Amino acid sequence: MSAHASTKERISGILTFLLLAFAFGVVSQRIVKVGMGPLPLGPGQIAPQISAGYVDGGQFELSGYQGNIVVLDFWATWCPPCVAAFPELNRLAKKYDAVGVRFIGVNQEPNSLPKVKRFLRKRKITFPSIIDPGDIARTFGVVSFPTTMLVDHQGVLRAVHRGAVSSERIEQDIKRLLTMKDKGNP
Amino acid sequence: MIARIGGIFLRPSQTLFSILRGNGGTMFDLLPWILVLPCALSPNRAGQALLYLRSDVMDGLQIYVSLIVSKLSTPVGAAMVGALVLSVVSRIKLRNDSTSVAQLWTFDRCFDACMYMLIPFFAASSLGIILESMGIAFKFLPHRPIRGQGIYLSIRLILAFGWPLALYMYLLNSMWHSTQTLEEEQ
Repeated sequence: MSAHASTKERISGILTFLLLAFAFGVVSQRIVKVGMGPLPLGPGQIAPQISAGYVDGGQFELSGYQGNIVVLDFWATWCPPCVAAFPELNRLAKKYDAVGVRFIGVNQEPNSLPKVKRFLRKRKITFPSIIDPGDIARTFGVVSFPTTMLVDHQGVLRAVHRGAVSSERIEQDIKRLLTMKDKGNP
Repeated sequence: MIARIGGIFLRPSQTLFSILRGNGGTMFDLLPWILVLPCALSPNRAGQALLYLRSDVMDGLQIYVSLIVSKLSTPVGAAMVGALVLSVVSRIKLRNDSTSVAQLWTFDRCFDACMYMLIPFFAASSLGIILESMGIAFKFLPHRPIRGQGIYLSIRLILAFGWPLALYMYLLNSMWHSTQTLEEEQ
């Protein structure tokens, strides 16, 4: 009886293991497809030439910002750390606007334009945001939000911060890039 | 180990008391579920972890760990709290039965037993993933985030945690009436 029960338990245990293995098996193709895709961009690489519509109308072209330092902030309204970072980013955008540093928000909600507009107006965000039609984050290899990227005056990606980052850190990067720009070399 | 995992479905009380008596069965037996199930639950995120592992091991690990935490922190946290309650209540209730408190209801053994109680939850999640991949979106199963309201939420909670909760109540009851139950079990 005991041996019989034990066999039943073993079979039941194996079936439980098989459930997990099958579950992993059916999604493994998806994991491999995403995981073996193009590697995320890192510092030193040329920023891809992207274009998208501004939230308030008009067309954004990254190539049009050559000569400026561009801070790309990938964000969404449903991302609490993104929202928390806005006041400081707004402050930095105002502070460094005169020296040619441009902050661009890259919103991740292409189907919620009115909501995004209301959100930005309510929080008095002064720097512009563009709506990612779905391929900008993928092109830059952004998978978590917020992600902040700094592109130098020559269009080269110089810093990538995944997740929440302090305004001091961003300011440090901006100063470094401004120095590089003033010296006229990377 | 396999038989014990099956035992949680077929002879739950004997299996749990066997773990409590220290006859094998630890939370480490469940590592395959802890490490693999979150990937199956969120293949995109797992793919992103793989992608980042290829470019920066630390970034990849960070995404992988955050994936595990986001998917399993609630059930594992509940198991931890459950084990704590069992061991504390046993100390109060069985203060005159020092052998039982010291040998059966220690926190680590209670935690091992509580983790084993999660096996039905893991199995239900795996089943949900498999069914969904076959086009049968049985959204009551716990492979999808448990949200909602009213009866819908209640059904989802029962399907996800009903069995583990029933087993936990059984253990709590057994501990409360410790002498009789232990005599029966032994």
